[in-house]
Amino acid sequence: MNIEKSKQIYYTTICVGIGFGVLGQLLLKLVALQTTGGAFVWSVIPGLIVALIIYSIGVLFWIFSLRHIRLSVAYSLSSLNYVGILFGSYYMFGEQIDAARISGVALIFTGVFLVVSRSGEKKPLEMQETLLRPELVPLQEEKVQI
Amino acid sequence: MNLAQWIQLLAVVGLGTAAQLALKAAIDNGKPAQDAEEAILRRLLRSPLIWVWFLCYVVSTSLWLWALRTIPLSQAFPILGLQFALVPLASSHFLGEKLSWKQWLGIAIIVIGVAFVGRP
Repeated sequence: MNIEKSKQIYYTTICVGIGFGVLGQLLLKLVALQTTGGAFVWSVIPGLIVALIIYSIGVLFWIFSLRHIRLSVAYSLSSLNYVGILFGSYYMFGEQIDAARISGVALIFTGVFLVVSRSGEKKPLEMQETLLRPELVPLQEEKVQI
Repeated sequence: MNLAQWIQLLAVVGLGTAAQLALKAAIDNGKPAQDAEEAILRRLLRSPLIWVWFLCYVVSTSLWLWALRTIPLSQAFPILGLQFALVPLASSHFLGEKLSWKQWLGIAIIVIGVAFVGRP
Protein backbone atom coordinates (compact mmCIF):
# COMPACT_ATOMS: atom_id res chain seq x y z
CA MET A 1 0.00 0.00 0.00
CA ASN A 2 1.44 3.39 -0.88
CA ILE A 3 1.43 6.62 1.06
CA GLU A 4 -1.34 8.20 -1.02
CA LYS A 5 -3.61 5.30 -0.28
CA SER A 6 -2.96 5.42 3.45
CA LYS A 7 -3.65 9.16 3.48
CA GLN A 8 -7.00 8.47 1.87
CA ILE A 9 -7.84 6.10 4.69
CA TYR A 10 -7.25 8.79 7.30
CA TYR A 11 -9.23 11.37 5.34
CA THR A 12 -12.04 8.88 5.23
CA THR A 13 -11.86 8.13 8.95
CA ILE A 14 -11.79 11.82 9.86
CA CYS A 15 -14.84 12.51 7.69
CA VAL A 16 -16.63 9.51 9.22
CA GLY A 17 -15.76 10.97 12.63
CA ILE A 18 -17.22 14.35 11.70
CA GLY A 19 -20.33 12.66 10.31
CA PHE A 20 -20.93 10.74 13.53
CA GLY A 21 -20.27 13.90 15.55
CA VAL A 22 -22.87 15.89 13.63
CA LEU A 23 -25.37 13.06 13.79
CA GLY A 24 -24.79 12.75 17.54
CA GLN A 25 -25.45 16.46 18.10
CA LEU A 26 -28.61 16.38 15.99
CA LEU A 27 -29.86 13.38 18.00
CA LEU A 28 -29.04 15.15 21.27
CA LYS A 29 -31.14 18.09 20.12
CA LEU A 30 -33.94 15.69 19.21
CA VAL A 31 -33.76 14.14 22.69
CA ALA A 32 -33.68 17.57 24.36
CA LEU A 33 -36.78 18.66 22.44
CA GLN A 34 -38.70 15.67 23.79
CA THR A 35 -38.23 16.92 27.35
CA THR A 36 -39.54 20.44 26.79
CA GLY A 37 -43.01 19.42 27.97
CA GLY A 38 -41.99 19.92 31.57
CA ALA A 39 -40.51 17.42 34.01
CA PHE A 40 -37.81 14.92 33.16
CA VAL A 41 -39.09 12.00 31.13
CA TRP A 42 -37.51 8.56 31.61
CA SER A 43 -38.48 7.49 28.13
CA VAL A 44 -35.80 9.72 26.60
CA ILE A 45 -32.97 7.77 28.27
CA PRO A 46 -32.50 5.18 25.47
CA GLY A 47 -32.40 7.94 22.85
CA LEU A 48 -29.95 9.87 24.98
CA ILE A 49 -27.64 6.86 25.28
CA VAL A 50 -27.76 6.22 21.53
CA ALA A 51 -26.98 9.89 20.83
CA LEU A 52 -24.04 9.90 23.27
CA ILE A 53 -22.65 6.64 21.85
CA ILE A 54 -22.84 7.93 18.28
CA TYR A 55 -21.19 11.16 19.37
CA SER A 56 -18.43 9.25 21.20
CA ILE A 57 -17.76 7.10 18.14
CA GLY A 58 -17.29 10.35 16.23
CA VAL A 59 -14.78 11.58 18.82
CA LEU A 60 -12.84 8.30 18.68
CA PHE A 61 -12.60 8.42 14.88
CA TRP A 62 -11.50 12.05 15.13
CA ILE A 63 -8.76 11.37 17.68
CA PHE A 64 -7.54 8.36 15.72
CA SER A 65 -7.31 10.38 12.51
CA LEU A 66 -5.70 13.35 14.22
CA ARG A 67 -2.61 11.26 14.89
CA HIS A 68 -1.98 10.90 11.20
CA ILE A 69 -3.34 14.05 9.63
CA ARG A 70 -1.70 17.45 9.85
CA LEU A 71 -3.53 19.52 12.47
CA SER A 72 -4.17 22.43 10.10
CA VAL A 73 -5.76 20.08 7.57
CA ALA A 74 -7.85 18.39 10.25
CA TYR A 75 -9.18 21.71 11.50
CA SER A 76 -10.01 22.86 7.99
CA LEU A 77 -12.07 19.71 7.63
CA SER A 78 -13.71 20.38 10.99
CA SER A 79 -15.57 23.28 9.34
CA LEU A 80 -17.77 20.50 7.96
CA ASN A 81 -19.11 20.20 11.53
CA TYR A 82 -20.66 23.64 11.26
CA VAL A 83 -21.97 22.99 7.75
CA GLY A 84 -23.55 19.70 8.84
CA ILE A 85 -25.08 21.22 11.98
CA LEU A 86 -26.55 24.21 10.11
CA PHE A 87 -28.05 22.05 7.36
CA GLY A 88 -29.32 19.52 9.88
CA SER A 89 -30.90 22.18 12.13
CA TYR A 90 -32.57 23.76 9.13
CA TYR A 91 -34.01 20.60 7.65
CA MET A 92 -34.73 18.59 10.81
CA PHE A 93 -35.86 21.33 13.18
CA GLY A 94 -36.83 24.15 10.82
CA GLU A 95 -34.50 26.61 12.54
CA GLN A 96 -34.17 30.08 11.03
CA ILE A 97 -30.68 30.58 9.68
CA ASP A 98 -30.04 34.15 8.61
CA ALA A 99 -27.00 35.92 7.20
CA ALA A 100 -25.91 37.16 10.63
CA ARG A 101 -25.76 33.63 11.98
CA ILE A 102 -23.81 32.35 8.99
CA SER A 103 -21.31 35.19 9.17
CA GLY A 104 -20.99 34.64 12.92
CA VAL A 105 -20.23 30.98 12.34
CA ALA A 106 -17.66 31.91 9.70
CA LEU A 107 -16.01 34.32 12.15
CA ILE A 108 -15.92 31.71 14.92
CA PHE A 109 -14.38 29.18 12.58
CA THR A 110 -11.76 31.68 11.41
CA GLY A 111 -10.92 32.50 15.02
CA VAL A 112 -10.65 28.85 16.01
CA PHE A 113 -8.36 28.25 13.06
CA LEU A 114 -6.10 31.12 14.13
CA VAL A 115 -5.99 29.88 17.72
CA VAL A 116 -5.10 26.38 16.63
CA SER A 117 -2.44 27.36 14.09
CA ARG A 118 0.25 28.68 16.36
CA SER A 119 2.52 31.17 14.65
CA GLY A 120 6.27 30.85 14.68
CA GLU A 121 6.10 27.11 15.06
CA LYS A 122 8.54 25.49 12.70
CA LYS A 123 7.30 21.94 12.85
CA PRO A 124 3.73 20.75 12.75
CA LEU A 125 2.50 19.07 15.91
CA GLU A 126 2.57 15.51 14.64
CA MET A 127 6.21 15.90 13.60
CA GLN A 128 7.27 16.96 17.07
CA GLU A 129 5.40 14.02 18.47
CA THR A 130 7.12 11.75 15.99
CA LEU A 131 10.50 12.99 17.14
CA LEU A 132 9.68 12.01 20.70
CA ARG A 133 8.02 8.76 19.82
CA PRO A 134 9.47 7.07 16.77
CA GLU A 135 6.83 4.35 16.86
CA LEU A 136 4.31 6.97 15.82
CA VAL A 137 5.83 7.54 12.37
CA PRO A 138 2.50 7.28 10.71
CA LEU A 139 2.52 6.67 7.01
CA GLN A 140 4.46 3.45 6.85
CA GLU A 141 3.16 0.48 5.01
CA GLU A 142 2.96 -2.08 7.78
CA LYS A 143 1.05 0.28 10.08
CA VAL A 144 -1.68 0.84 7.55
CA GLN A 145 -2.71 -2.72 6.88
CA ILE A 146 -5.36 -2.93 9.54
CA MET B 1 -30.78 34.47 23.26
CA ASN B 2 -31.89 35.71 26.64
CA LEU B 3 -29.72 36.03 29.74
CA ALA B 4 -30.62 32.61 31.15
CA GLN B 5 -29.68 30.96 27.86
CA TRP B 6 -26.38 32.82 27.75
CA ILE B 7 -25.60 31.70 31.28
CA GLN B 8 -26.35 28.07 30.38
CA LEU B 9 -24.03 28.11 27.39
CA LEU B 10 -21.28 30.00 29.21
CA ALA B 11 -21.45 27.43 32.00
CA VAL B 12 -21.11 24.61 29.44
CA VAL B 13 -18.08 26.29 27.92
CA GLY B 14 -16.59 27.26 31.29
CA LEU B 15 -16.89 23.73 32.67
CA GLY B 16 -15.47 22.34 29.43
CA THR B 17 -12.48 24.65 29.84
CA ALA B 18 -12.02 23.60 33.47
CA ALA B 19 -12.12 19.96 32.33
CA GLN B 20 -9.36 20.53 29.79
CA LEU B 21 -7.17 22.34 32.29
CA ALA B 22 -7.67 19.65 34.92
CA LEU B 23 -6.71 16.98 32.39
CA LYS B 24 -3.59 18.88 31.39
CA ALA B 25 -2.60 19.41 35.02
CA ALA B 26 -3.25 15.73 35.77
CA ILE B 27 -1.01 14.64 32.89
CA ASP B 28 1.79 17.04 33.73
CA ASN B 29 1.58 16.58 37.49
CA GLY B 30 4.50 18.92 37.97
CA LYS B 31 6.63 17.23 35.34
CA PRO B 32 6.55 17.67 31.59
CA ALA B 33 4.95 14.66 29.96
CA GLN B 34 7.66 12.90 28.01
CA ASP B 35 7.28 9.35 29.23
CA ALA B 36 5.92 6.40 27.42
CA GLU B 37 2.21 6.22 26.91
CA GLU B 38 1.50 3.74 29.75
CA ALA B 39 3.35 5.91 32.25
CA ILE B 40 1.19 8.89 31.31
CA LEU B 41 -1.95 6.82 31.62
CA ARG B 42 -0.94 5.47 35.02
CA ARG B 43 -0.10 8.96 36.23
CA LEU B 44 -3.43 10.17 34.90
CA LEU B 45 -5.46 7.54 36.72
CA ARG B 46 -3.63 8.12 40.00
CA SER B 47 -4.19 11.88 39.95
CA PRO B 48 -7.21 13.18 41.89
CA LEU B 49 -7.57 15.80 39.17
CA ILE B 50 -8.94 13.14 36.83
CA TRP B 51 -12.12 13.27 38.94
CA VAL B 52 -12.33 17.01 38.46
CA TRP B 53 -12.11 16.37 34.75
CA PHE B 54 -14.79 13.69 34.89
CA LEU B 55 -17.16 15.75 37.03
CA CYS B 56 -16.80 18.83 34.83
CA TYR B 57 -17.46 16.69 31.79
CA VAL B 58 -20.61 15.09 33.17
CA VAL B 59 -22.07 18.37 34.44
CA SER B 60 -21.13 20.17 31.24
CA THR B 61 -22.80 17.53 29.07
CA SER B 62 -25.97 17.60 31.19
CA LEU B 63 -26.11 21.38 31.01
CA TRP B 64 -25.61 21.18 27.26
CA LEU B 65 -28.64 18.93 26.99
CA TRP B 66 -30.58 21.34 29.17
CA ALA B 67 -29.55 24.29 26.99
CA LEU B 68 -30.63 22.47 23.83
CA ARG B 69 -34.19 22.31 25.16
CA THR B 70 -34.69 25.96 24.32
CA ILE B 71 -31.74 27.17 22.25
CA PRO B 72 -31.68 26.37 18.52
CA LEU B 73 -28.85 23.95 17.69
CA SER B 74 -27.64 26.18 14.86
CA GLN B 75 -27.12 28.88 17.48
CA ALA B 76 -25.85 26.87 20.44
CA PHE B 77 -23.36 24.66 18.61
CA PRO B 78 -21.23 27.44 17.05
CA ILE B 79 -21.09 29.16 20.45
CA LEU B 80 -19.29 26.10 21.83
CA GLY B 81 -16.38 27.44 19.75
CA LEU B 82 -15.93 29.94 22.56
CA GLN B 83 -14.04 27.19 24.34
CA PHE B 84 -11.24 27.67 21.80
CA ALA B 85 -10.93 31.20 23.17
CA LEU B 86 -11.26 30.28 26.84
CA VAL B 87 -8.80 27.38 26.90
CA PRO B 88 -5.83 29.46 25.65
CA LEU B 89 -6.79 32.34 27.96
CA ALA B 90 -6.99 30.00 30.95
CA SER B 91 -3.76 28.23 29.94
CA SER B 92 -1.97 31.53 29.78
CA HIS B 93 -3.40 32.67 33.11
CA PHE B 94 -3.13 29.47 35.15
CA LEU B 95 -0.43 27.46 33.43
CA GLY B 96 1.74 30.34 32.28
CA GLU B 97 1.61 29.34 28.61
CA LYS B 98 2.64 31.98 26.10
CA LEU B 99 0.10 33.01 23.47
CA SER B 100 1.12 34.17 20.01
CA TRP B 101 -0.37 37.27 18.37
CA LYS B 102 -2.23 34.95 16.02
CA GLN B 103 -3.93 33.31 18.97
CA TRP B 104 -4.90 36.66 20.50
CA LEU B 105 -6.37 37.71 17.15
CA GLY B 106 -8.20 34.39 16.92
CA ILE B 107 -9.63 34.82 20.42
CA ALA B 108 -10.94 38.29 19.53
CA ILE B 109 -12.50 37.04 16.29
CA ILE B 110 -14.19 34.12 18.09
CA VAL B 111 -15.75 36.51 20.62
CA ILE B 112 -17.09 38.75 17.83
CA GLY B 113 -18.46 35.71 16.00
CA VAL B 114 -20.15 34.43 19.15
CA ALA B 115 -21.81 37.84 19.62
CA PHE B 116 -23.14 37.61 16.04
CA VAL B 117 -24.49 34.10 16.45
CA GLY B 118 -25.99 34.78 19.89
CA ARG B 119 -27.93 37.86 18.76
CA PRO B 120 -31.53 37.61 19.96
